[in-house]
Amino acid sequence: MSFELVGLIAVAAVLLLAFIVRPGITRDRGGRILAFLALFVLPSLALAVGFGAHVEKSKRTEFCLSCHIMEPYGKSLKIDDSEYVPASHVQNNRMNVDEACFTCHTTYALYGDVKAKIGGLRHMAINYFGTLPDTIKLYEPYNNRECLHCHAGARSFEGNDAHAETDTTMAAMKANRLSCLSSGCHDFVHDVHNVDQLEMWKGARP
Amino acid sequence: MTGRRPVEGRIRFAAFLCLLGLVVEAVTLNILHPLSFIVFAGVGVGLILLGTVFYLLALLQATEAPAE
Repeated sequence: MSFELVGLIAVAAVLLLAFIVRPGITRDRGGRILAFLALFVLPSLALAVGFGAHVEKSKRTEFCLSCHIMEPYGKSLKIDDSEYVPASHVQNNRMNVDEACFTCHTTYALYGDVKAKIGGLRHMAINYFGTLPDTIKLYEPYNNRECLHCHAGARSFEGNDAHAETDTTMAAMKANRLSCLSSGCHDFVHDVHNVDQLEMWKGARP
Repeated sequence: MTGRRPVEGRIRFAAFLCLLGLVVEAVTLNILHPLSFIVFAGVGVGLILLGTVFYLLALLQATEAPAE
């Protein structure tokens, strides 16, 4: 929780407490202005800032992994094999590790974050009120756009011989016609069903 | 002569609802779990909105019926 938000909530709480103890403050003009501030402006502001803070908090890796069903996915980030895409990204700081799940599973398009959060609410509803699937599947095939958000233009991507195997390979990847993940190139992802049998990296990452 | 006016009771109740909502917000912001967001959105937001609406209604009622 940011210092500003703590301050905002504290100031609002103190003023509200004053109106609970002595509601007669509103009898004069200054008191009425203060009441408007304490009962309308500050709570509305605290609500808006608090909502934003909750949304930011929900991007954190620990947030996603706090649900039991996500534990094997968290474990898969420690697989000691560079062929595993999420593990190698996290272990080599190729992304903001504190927001690892969100970084790859948001949609880098207009309202992508909103869509991701609405999807999260759906996951929660299924988690608590529905039947958990044996294998969690994406709603739609993973779009290369999410990989290219970081990799497009990078020398390691643009200059990779495999990415220029034919005249059309690069264009097909950029147009999402040739999947980065399911075309046999980077197809080791979370592998949660076998994660317990795999070697784990015992490095610095939690 | 200095008895409490009805609007003051309503303001006190509105302040109580808002304060409760802020407490819920503060507590949920310190818990890193999806349920904390649901509690914030369902309870905290509801209490704060209810408090502000209650306050605005109290203001309206106070202006409609001037102090006796």
